[in-house]
Amino acid sequence: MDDKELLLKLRNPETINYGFNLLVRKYQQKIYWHIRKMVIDHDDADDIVQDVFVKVWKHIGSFREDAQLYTWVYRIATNECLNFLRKKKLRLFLPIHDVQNELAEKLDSSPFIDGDEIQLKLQKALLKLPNKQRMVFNMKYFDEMKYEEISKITGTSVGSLKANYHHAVKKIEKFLTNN
Amino acid sequence: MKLEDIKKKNIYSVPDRYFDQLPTRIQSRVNEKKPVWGLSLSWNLTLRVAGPALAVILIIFYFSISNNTGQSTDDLLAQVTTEDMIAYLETTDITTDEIIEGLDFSTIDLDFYEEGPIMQNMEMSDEEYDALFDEYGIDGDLL
Repeated sequence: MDDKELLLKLRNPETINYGFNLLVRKYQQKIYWHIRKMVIDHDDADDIVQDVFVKVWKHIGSFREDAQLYTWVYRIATNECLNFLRKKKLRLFLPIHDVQNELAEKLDSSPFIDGDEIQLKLQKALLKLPNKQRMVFNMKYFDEMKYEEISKITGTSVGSLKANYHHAVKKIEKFLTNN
Repeated sequence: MKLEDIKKKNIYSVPDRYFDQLPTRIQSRVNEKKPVWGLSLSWNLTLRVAGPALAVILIIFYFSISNNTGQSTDDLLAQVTTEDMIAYLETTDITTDEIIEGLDFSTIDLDFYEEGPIMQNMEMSDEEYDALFDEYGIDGDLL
């Protein structure tokens, strides 16, 4: 079912629950993986993905049709994710590198992570990036999204995203070479 | 090392049947959230009622404070010292004429019209007048 049909169901009080269920089933995996790559831990990702869809439910009435539904859901997920990481930093009174260390430790100790040495090294290299840059890298490299799509989600210009991604690749390659 | 040298792979996984159960868990949270609309309505109602109620409470509080002092405006003004009153009048735009217009002369003791100490001191002998005229170079015959 495409997003237009989904929206019709969401706007009808008689089919809103059914429409929402379809929306969750359609986007849950994309949104979960988008979040999981940022927060590393499954339980954290599980909490955030639920919060995202609860927010989608609460604000679906204010959704404007000039944006695509999936872009809007992604944007909510991106904001929730970045807020989670920001709060984590504030709550622990830790400088950013300590949050990165905490996430790096989770890479080694958390369940539901299965990668060889070079894959884990790549993930640790990603944790050295600022959160927003890491998110842009994930969307481009792993999710293979177009810059135009990322631009709509993050509200950043395509030119800036290209420069950001290029910078991120350079930093990652330097880390992989030196470590 | 180049990024292309690394095989692109998702190293993360989820518990069994996680994505089968997630929609049900989200749906139950959404259902829990439904009363929130009611709560939000209650909040709106509370705010609409609380605003005027708070204003009434503040007014009552203000008047009770005012009444508890047991002092009228005249009493409060009487406590202001003359120096403070002069300092206040000097800094306001009230003119002397306006101050005089505001005075009730019937309630003020104008002792100096009577033969009080001031007028008594004004009584001088002819010799004293002559000495005063001499001091200021005034010809007493011209008066």
